[in-house]
Amino acid sequence: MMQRLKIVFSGPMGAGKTEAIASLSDIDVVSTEVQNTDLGTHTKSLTTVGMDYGELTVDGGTNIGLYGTPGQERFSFIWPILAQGALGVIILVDHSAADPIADMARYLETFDKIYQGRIVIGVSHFDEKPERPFDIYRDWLKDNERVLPIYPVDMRKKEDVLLLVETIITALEQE
Amino acid sequence: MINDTLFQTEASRVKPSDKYLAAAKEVLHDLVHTTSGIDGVLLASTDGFEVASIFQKDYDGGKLSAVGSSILALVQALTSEARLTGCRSVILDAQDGKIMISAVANKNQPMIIILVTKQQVLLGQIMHGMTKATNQLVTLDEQYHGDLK
Repeated sequence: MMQRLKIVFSGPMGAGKTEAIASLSDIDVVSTEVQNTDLGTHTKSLTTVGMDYGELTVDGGTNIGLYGTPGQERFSFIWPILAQGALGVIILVDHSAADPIADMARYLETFDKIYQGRIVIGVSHFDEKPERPFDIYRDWLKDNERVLPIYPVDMRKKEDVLLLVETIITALEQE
Repeated sequence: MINDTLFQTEASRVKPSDKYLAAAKEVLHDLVHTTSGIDGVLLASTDGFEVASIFQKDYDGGKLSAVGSSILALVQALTSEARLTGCRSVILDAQDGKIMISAVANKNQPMIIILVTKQQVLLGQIMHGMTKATNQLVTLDEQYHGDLK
């Protein structure tokens, strides 16, 4: 039987949500990008204000709807709408940002309130700040007694983004 | 320390020039005063920051800007999926009022207008007023922001 699943990508502005969905999607993605005027938060030229949508078909014919949220917190009204009924939420964190640990903590805190399913964390832009160790994330999760899968990922590589999605699907199969 | 950071963030935002802002406020005033039944009008950037507003009621301009820009972008994505082009506006019909969101196709700093009206209004008059206002705003953008790029 063909299943229809939903996975949501969230995380701060510039972490690579739109790019992740574009890398993974089998169809032309639906995007709602507009000119970015908030250059203090991120210098990229376009930013998502509504949602991203793509689709991925995995082995066995399972079709996965990929939804991306806007990153900026003034659009947080749409996060619970998109997270509704999701099989899992992937939180992407920009490793090269000023304080990625604070970003991760803030997003986990917010999603704890609006979403009760599986969460996986992807750390992007790792090559832009290699001197900052990956252990800071594991240490923070351990100190805060959170057991969550976490991987460094390059959004441009389909296999990296796929790993995040497969982690959620594998968790589902094990239940 | 915190104030410094905030100040830097504010300073590095792309904002309309003071001249544009002053002229845009006049356009909004004209719209409100020549059209009956308007409870609020708001000009915002397409990425959801408030630029200027005139409210007759107690609205949260920041939230209206964020949700309004998001909805217009979603509606534009929907129209393009339906193979329609050039979606300029959307009208929402509530029990006790209407909301119209229009794209302001500024070449340099694209914006949106959100209009909140009473339920009993002449839609034709509202749409005519909106078209006039958006055209004026586009001309002002060419005039005051054209040399920024």
